[in-house]
Amino acid sequence: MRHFEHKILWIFTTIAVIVLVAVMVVLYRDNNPLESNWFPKCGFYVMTGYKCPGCGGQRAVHYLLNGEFKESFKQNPLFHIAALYIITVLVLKTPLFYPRHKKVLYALTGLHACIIWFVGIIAFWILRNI
Amino acid sequence: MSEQKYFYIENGNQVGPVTAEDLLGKIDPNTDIWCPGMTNWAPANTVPEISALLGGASAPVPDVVSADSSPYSGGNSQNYGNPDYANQQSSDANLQQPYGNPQQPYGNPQQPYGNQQQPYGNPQQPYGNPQQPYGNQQPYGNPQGMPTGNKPDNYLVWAIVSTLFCCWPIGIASIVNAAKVDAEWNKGNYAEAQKYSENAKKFATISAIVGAIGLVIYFVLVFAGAAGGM
Repeated sequence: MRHFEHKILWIFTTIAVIVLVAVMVVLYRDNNPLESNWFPKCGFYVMTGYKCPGCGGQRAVHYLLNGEFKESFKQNPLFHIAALYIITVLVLKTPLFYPRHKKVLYALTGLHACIIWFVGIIAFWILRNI
Repeated sequence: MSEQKYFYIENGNQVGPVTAEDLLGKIDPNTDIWCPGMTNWAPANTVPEISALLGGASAPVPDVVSADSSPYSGGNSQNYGNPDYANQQSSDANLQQPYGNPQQPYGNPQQPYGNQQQPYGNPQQPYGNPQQPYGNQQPYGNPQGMPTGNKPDNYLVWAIVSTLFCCWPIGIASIVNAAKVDAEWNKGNYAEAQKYSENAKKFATISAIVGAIGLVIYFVLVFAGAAGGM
């Protein structure tokens, strides 16, 4: 009985996530965050007038879903770099790739990588406001 | 005290290791034998303890039985390393020819034992963990008593996601903790590294939750007409 309930929960969650993602994709594709009220604005920007590292992310997604890659990149370049990085790391962690690429994975997630990301995010934050 | 092991020649082949008693039924006084400590193969009757076991019937080398440390020292040059055994003790014609120089067919008598130090090689980590190419000093063990195993995950990927996509103040805290995981691990502070790993994960999760809640609240407000144009 427990196993059955566990499985039901799993299926329900998966379906819920798929539906949610589908809704978001349609929402972001058909509405430009610049013009629509459906999308939250950045609290930091509203309060200080300066962009935070995540600002422009929603617009970037909108343009990407509409095929406008260049425009998407302009809204938030860091998002694209982060997306590539995240996908690479997650793929390398899967059993298929992990054994052969441990060194690369460590280079991407070790101490030096942490420092590079930290410095990079701060630098991006400052530079995009100049 | 471990028993002395011997090797002997039978039908041109090296046999052993065996104990002294085992030799009794197998060899005759002229059989070449060797044991650790001997520089070369030698007939059984030139090795005192074996000769004694065999009854010492044809023991022609009186010096050998002296009490000093090396029974084979002194003037018994006739018995060693010298293919020309034929001229000393017994009348057996089959003594040396099949064997030639005791060194050759059997190689270095030391070999049967090989290097005794490392039968299993380095017990530590044949594959190492991913950090080893960078010289991670794990072998010192952990003064805090945690098992040295694999480095705890620093959740860097989730830290970055939570900074850019959710709530940057908490996300930045997560990244800092992620960096400390590796820093402490490389220094050998395993318990500290584990603690920072849990922190990194915790902050990344909190950031994600805060971001999600913020989003939900915003949508609710928009729905209610209160937040449009904020």
